[in-house]
Amino acid sequence: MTTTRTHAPGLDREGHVTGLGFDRLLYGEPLEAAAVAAHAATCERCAAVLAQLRADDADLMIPLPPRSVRAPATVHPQVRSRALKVAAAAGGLFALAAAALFLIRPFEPGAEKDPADAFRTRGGGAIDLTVHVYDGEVSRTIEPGATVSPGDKARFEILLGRGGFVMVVGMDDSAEPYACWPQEEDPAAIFLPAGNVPVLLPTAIEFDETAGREHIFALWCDHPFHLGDLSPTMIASLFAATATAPPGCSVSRVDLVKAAH
Amino acid sequence: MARREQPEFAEQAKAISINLTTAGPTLALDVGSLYRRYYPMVARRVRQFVRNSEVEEVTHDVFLRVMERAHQFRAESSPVTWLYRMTTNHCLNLVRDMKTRRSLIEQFGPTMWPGAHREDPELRVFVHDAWRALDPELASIGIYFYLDGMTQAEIATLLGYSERTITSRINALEDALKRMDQRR
Repeated sequence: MTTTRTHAPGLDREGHVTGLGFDRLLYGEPLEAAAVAAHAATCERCAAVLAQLRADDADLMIPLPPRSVRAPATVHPQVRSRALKVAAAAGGLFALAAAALFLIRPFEPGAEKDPADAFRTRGGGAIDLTVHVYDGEVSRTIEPGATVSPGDKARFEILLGRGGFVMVVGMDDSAEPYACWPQEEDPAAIFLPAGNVPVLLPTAIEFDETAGREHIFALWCDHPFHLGDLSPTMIASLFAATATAPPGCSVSRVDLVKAAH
Repeated sequence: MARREQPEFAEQAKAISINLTTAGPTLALDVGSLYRRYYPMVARRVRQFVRNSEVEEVTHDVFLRVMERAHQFRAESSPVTWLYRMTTNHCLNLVRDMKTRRSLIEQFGPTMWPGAHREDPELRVFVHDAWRALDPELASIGIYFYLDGMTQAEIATLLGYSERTITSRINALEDALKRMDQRR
C-alpha cells in the first residue's frame, strides 16, 4: 500500500520539481516557489527543464503589437539616478547568488557597483528589474545596455524588497510609454508582496524593426496607481538620464539598444 | 512563433469581467487578465494531452470554461493551482471522449510526462487503458500521481482534500489497477 512521504512543496516523489511546482515558480507564487527555486538552482535536470519552460512560455506569450519607433541608432545614456546613489549609499544592492537560469538573489549589502549601471537604475531596495530576451532559439538574461534585435521577445523579472504596487513600462525615443505588465489599455499597478525570490512576470513584448533606444522601467509605489496617473512630467522624469520616481515610489530601469537588421 | 490575443475571445472575456480576489483587495483579476497572464501555462499543460495542432483551440476552450466557472474560484486557492486543475480535468475529459484507443502514453507522448519513464506495473496498466475505465476523479488522481509524479500532499492541496483522503484514494486506485492487471 502507498505510504505517505514528506517532500518540500512543489517537488515530486523523486525530489525533482513537478510541473505544478514549475508553474508556481514561473507565475510568481513566492511562498511555494522558494523551495522550488532552491532546488532548481542546484539540480541540473530541473534547471534544464526550467530553461526549456521559460523558452516555451516566451514562445507562447501574447505579445504587444510591434511598435513604430523613430530613433537614432546609437545612443549611450548615462544613468546616474538619485535612486542609484541612495542604493549605493545604503549598500542595498542586489547580488546574484546563483547563475544563469532562475535564481534566488538575496539582498547583499556592500556589493560592488556594476559597470552596466551606466544603463541601469536600481530601485533603492524596493524593486530590481531584470530583462530576459528570447531570440527564437535561446532565452538569455541581458545586461543593461545590451543590443537587442527586431523580433526578439522580452520578459521581465522583478525582485521586491518591499511589498507594493508594481507596473512595468517601456518607452522608446518616441516618448510614448507603453505597458509591459500588466498589459492593459490603462493598466492599474498590481500589488505584489515582498519576497526574496525574483518573480518572472507573465507577459512579453516583441521588439519592432526600428533601431534606437528602448527603456524599460519597473515602477514600485506604496500606493495604487494607473499608468494614466503618471503625468507627462513624471514620465519624462522616469526616463530622464537622472531617473526620478514620484513621491512614495521607486524605479528600476534598464536601457537597451535596439539594432536594425 | 508568437501568439496574438484573439479579439473575439478578448471581447468575450472583457464583457464578463469577473473579479477574482486572490490575496486581498488589491489583487483583483478578471478573466481577461487571467487569459493574458496564464495563457502560456495553460497551453503547456494542454500540450501534454493533445496534438500540437489542437493546442490553441483546446486552450481557448479551457478559458471559456474558466469564464463559466469563475464563480467557483475560492479566494484561498491560487490561480495557478485552480487553472492547473481545471485544465487537467478538461483535457482528461476531452481525451477520454476521443474515439482512438491508443494507450495514454501513445496518446500524450512519453517525453511530456516526467513520471512515464518508471518501470512500474501499475503505471503500465494505468496508462494503457485503466485511465479510461476509472471514474473521472480517480483518473485525474492517477494522472497527478503516476504521470506528474506528485506527492499525496501536493495532490491534496491541488484538489482541496485532506492528505489522508488522497492516500486512501491512491490505495483504492492501486488496488483497482492490480485487479485490472490480473484480468489481462
